[in-house]
Amino acid sequence: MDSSDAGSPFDKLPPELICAICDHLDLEALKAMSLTCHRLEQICANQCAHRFFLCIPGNRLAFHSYQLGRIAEKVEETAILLKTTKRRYRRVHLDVRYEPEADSVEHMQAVHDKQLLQQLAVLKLDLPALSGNLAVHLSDAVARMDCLLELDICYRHQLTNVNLPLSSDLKLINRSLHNLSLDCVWPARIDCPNMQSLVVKGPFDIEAIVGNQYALHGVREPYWKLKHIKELVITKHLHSHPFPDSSTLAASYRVQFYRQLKQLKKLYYSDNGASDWILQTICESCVQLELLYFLVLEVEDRNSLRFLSNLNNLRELNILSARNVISFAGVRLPNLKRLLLDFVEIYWPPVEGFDSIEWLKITAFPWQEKQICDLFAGPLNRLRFLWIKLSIDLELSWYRNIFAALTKLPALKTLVLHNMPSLNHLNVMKPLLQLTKLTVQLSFGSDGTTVPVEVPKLVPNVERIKICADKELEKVRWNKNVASVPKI
Amino acid sequence: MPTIKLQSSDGEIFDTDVQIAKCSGTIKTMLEDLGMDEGDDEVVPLPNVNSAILRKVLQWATFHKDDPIPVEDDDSKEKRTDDISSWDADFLKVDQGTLFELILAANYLDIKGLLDVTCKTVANMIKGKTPEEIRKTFNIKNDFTPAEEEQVRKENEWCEEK
Repeated sequence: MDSSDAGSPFDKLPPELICAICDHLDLEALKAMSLTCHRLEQICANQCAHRFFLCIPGNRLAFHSYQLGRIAEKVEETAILLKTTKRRYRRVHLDVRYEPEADSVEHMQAVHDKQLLQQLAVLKLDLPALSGNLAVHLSDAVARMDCLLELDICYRHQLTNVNLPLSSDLKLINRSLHNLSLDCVWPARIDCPNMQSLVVKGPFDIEAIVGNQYALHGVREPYWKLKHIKELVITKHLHSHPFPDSSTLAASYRVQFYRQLKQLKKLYYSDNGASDWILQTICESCVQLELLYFLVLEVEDRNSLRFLSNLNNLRELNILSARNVISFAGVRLPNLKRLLLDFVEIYWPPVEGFDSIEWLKITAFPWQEKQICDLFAGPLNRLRFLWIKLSIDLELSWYRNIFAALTKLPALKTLVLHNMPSLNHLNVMKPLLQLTKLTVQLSFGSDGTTVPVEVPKLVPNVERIKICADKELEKVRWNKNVASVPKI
Repeated sequence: MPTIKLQSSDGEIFDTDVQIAKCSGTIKTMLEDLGMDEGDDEVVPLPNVNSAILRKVLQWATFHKDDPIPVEDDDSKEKRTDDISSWDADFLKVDQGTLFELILAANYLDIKGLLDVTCKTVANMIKGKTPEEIRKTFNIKNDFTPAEEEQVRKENEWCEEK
């Protein structure tokens, strides 16, 4: 081994050792490496491309700025690049917004390129219009994408436009697809046997439409592969088009729809209001559910929650708001770990079925002092995380009593006090030795951000009391990922 | 303390602690699988490592002989490079030729810890540099035509971490 020649020391290293060095490089450094010479470029191309995907950026965010266009050219460039590249991309991510003026079909033909079809893993389409011709082309292209994992089609509609495409020409048939997201567009057929997750947004009553097909066609209905999905997100627009049939019929179709979803594990239901009857249907049909989210629960009967007892596997229940007072009396959820209730008033009688709960988020109303104290005195032995949304008009004695009740929660590690009028209220806290994290979000117009000197002694195991701005806490908004895990 | 004899490519013999020699997976395998016994006066030939590099390697292995066996982390994301100990950093203040030969030797002798820290050191020499600066640092000749360079640049623009 001599080092006398004037070449680069890299010349002596075999590719696998150069790769071992590349493993320690970030994307920018790798890109710089690839631009130094042919040999290093090829090594990066062959060995390191698996770390990256080719991402053809879209401009969806520039919703109304048409000057960014020229997407068709980008698609074509991508196709050419994939033909000539030496790199082995594991996935190609294409985010395309079509121009309303241009002939979309022509653009779609660029997507038809064989090389592109075979490597495309993520396809996001933002369509200004969905003509029958384009729908046919799109259906054909999707059917030939052998490694497609995510498909996201958004029809850029105007709210005033009532002719939303329930396209009879769009058929989504693909074996590899895992995640499908449809915004304001609904195909005539979905046949994706490996689909795990379906996200539907728009003003259609999808449940009734699909349920109707199930009722009409029996086993030959066109959406039969939906029955395998594990995750469903339904977000309806405020002004939904009612299903054309009478409401009773629509209701029976909805039942048909949920009856089929026997393997569903996660359901995010962001319809206007989930009635007693919808709740009952879901709980009786989708018995595998592990996560259930409601944007608005609109049950009339406060005891409707008893249907939840059907969901033996439920681990998380998340209700953003409820029109009426609801009650968990008699509800048995042996595997429930997280119960997150935002704008929800609960009638809290002594609850027996709650001993598995680890995370709890509640809104505290002034008249519920005793109920909440009783709740904390109950079987919440595993509660680690507690988030209390405070009403502004709580008396100091309320705080005193609630803080005293908190001492009865042996496993409590994290406490979030949301909407607190003053940090001085913490003075009435009882020692909470078990606590390791304390976050306080002050209400608007509260007096200062200084923690009273005595307070840290009451929570000796909390390293730092976090005083946070409203915005930080409000990240826990509707978002299918965040909705499940508030990050503190 | 039992010792064995290691012979470098240029014929120098190194009397080495067995425990230290066994930092090398290659030597460990030779001793255990090929039936070379510690008491034997046999010499283990290492034809791919010269005496200067072997001396450095043994110096490293002596210092690190009590380290725990490094765990394999096969995360496909980049690995960190900011965790080089100050002893290693001092130890690797060597000319580029020596550094790269240490990489080759660590690989041949199968010493994961040394391979890791030498690769990290080179990675740190690359990070934050422009392509031209990297070429200059490592004496790399640019053999791209302007058109080829442009093609790579464009492809890079569209590359994102997964």
